[in-house]
Amino acid sequence: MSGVSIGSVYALVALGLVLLYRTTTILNFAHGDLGVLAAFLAFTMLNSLEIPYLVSALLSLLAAGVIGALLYLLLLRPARNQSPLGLLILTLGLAFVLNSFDAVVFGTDNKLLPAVMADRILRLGGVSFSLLSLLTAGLGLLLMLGLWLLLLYTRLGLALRAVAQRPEVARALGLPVRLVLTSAWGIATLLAAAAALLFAPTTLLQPSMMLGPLAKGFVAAVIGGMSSLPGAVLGGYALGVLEVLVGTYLSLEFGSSFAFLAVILVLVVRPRGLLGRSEVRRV
Amino acid sequence: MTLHKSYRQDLALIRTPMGWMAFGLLAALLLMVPFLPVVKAYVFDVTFFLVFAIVALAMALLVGMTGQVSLGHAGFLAAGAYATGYLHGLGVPYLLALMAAAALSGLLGLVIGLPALRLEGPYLAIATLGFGLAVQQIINNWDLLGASAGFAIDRPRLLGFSDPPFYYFVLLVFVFLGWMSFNLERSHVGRAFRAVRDAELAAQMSGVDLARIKTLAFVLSAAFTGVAGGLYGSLLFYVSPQNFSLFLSIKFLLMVVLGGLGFLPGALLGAGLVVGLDTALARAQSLSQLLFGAVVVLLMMLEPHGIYGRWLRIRRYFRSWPM
Repeated sequence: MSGVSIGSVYALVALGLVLLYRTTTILNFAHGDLGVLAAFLAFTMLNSLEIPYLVSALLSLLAAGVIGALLYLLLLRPARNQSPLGLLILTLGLAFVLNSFDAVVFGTDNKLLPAVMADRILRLGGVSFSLLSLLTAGLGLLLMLGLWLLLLYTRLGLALRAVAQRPEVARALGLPVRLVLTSAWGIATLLAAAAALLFAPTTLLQPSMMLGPLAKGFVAAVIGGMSSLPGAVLGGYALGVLEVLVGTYLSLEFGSSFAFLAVILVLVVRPRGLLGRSEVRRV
Repeated sequence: MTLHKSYRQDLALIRTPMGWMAFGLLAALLLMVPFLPVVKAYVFDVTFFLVFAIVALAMALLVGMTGQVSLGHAGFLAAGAYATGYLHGLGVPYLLALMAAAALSGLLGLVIGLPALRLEGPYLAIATLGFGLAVQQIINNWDLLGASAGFAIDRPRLLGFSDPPFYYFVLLVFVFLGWMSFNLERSHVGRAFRAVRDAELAAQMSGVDLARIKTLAFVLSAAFTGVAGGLYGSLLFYVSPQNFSLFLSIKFLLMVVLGGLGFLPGALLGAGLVVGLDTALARAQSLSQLLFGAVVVLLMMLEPHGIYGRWLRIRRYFRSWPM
């Protein structure tokens, strides 16, 4: 069960990363740090301003969306003509800035961000579940469902898909590409923030908290296929479950290493990920 | 503009009297480091820079010239460091241990390079990321290599324990590998690398064996980094898994991109920038990272071609003056 709950975190991170890659072709290495910023904001609202948890969480999600959108609009979009590697390095720089910003403003001491409610152990048919795990998995799935509905049934979702497929044609047809891409970044950052909020109760809240999930998120996205959103979800859950299984039954330490070796194994068999499509290159 | 009066001059690495003067000055400076008044105290840091410069050369070969992004070079560094340390600890002569480390890293480069033939773009980057992290995790759990505590290693016993003799040894290795890199760049192999980076299909049509060249780039890059790893471990007198993190791999990538992707001198400049920033900002912990990140962002926004790219533009401006 905990595999599914940690899988939800990885899947959310991977979804955001794939969304950003498909629309703006940027590998966002600042994704984790953006999520941590939101978690810190939630923490500050909860502890210093005594705002109830749900409101804090929602506000921090919104804040993350706004910050992500602004980041794209002000820093990344002006640089959009650079090579993909250059943009990657740009996001790395942003990650450093955000990381140290968090450390300076919020401190590196170990904080604890609580979950929506206190954890309880449920027993269903001889197997014990952690309520928190169930909740994490459930909330994660809910968000993914929300994203799916957004993409399929709203005009924004349609615009996003159009811009992801053929940006020039979309612009020629009159779609506000800049607005669409900015909202893509907003949505993706919101997902990252959600992942951070779900992850934080299981660990200590500190600036480098999301480093592991970010790496695993990238791995999950690649395993599923960088061009496939369902692939990201699949990759995330597969990674989460396998990690817990390997950790429990094979050896505790190699659980994590397994993830990183798994990606190489998958890519050898399917170079574009499990659900990725082969790109046809015009020569 | 320089007029080349002979083929010899065209083929040479240093072509003009000005070039020789600049080179001579640089060589003199580097040789005098342990004796110059202010710089004397920083022998360790300069040695550190030279070790990272070797990795920068390796990264330039793979990422800059062949276009294959690697986010896992810390893994090759770790392999080299641990191999050298372990073998030297068993009594193997240092140079032999270093060469064995290079061979081991090269082998790892082959192991990664072969599957990497099928990958590109984000897939290659994340696969190498996975490799680097996997290496770190494996050595973290391998009791023979000290697990999470690591183990202490020596410098070459002939050189003693002080910094200056080791500095000259590292300088020698750096000069040798640098000379090799610059020559490689000018050779048909270097041209093949760049052809693969710029137009893969066209390169294949022109007779470049894609698989061989790409794998060669990986193996060479890994071997160089392995040597640097051995020197790195000896420099610090210690190896432990924490030293070989994703953060280090990212720093290596930053070195080549910030300095100028695709240019060997750019890689060296980038190494200087990264190591210099690290050393200068070492005192203010979190603030240093903030400034570092800000520098990265600003540099990438203002000059995507890196420091050396900017230098080339300046030089071009003056060369074509008054037009």
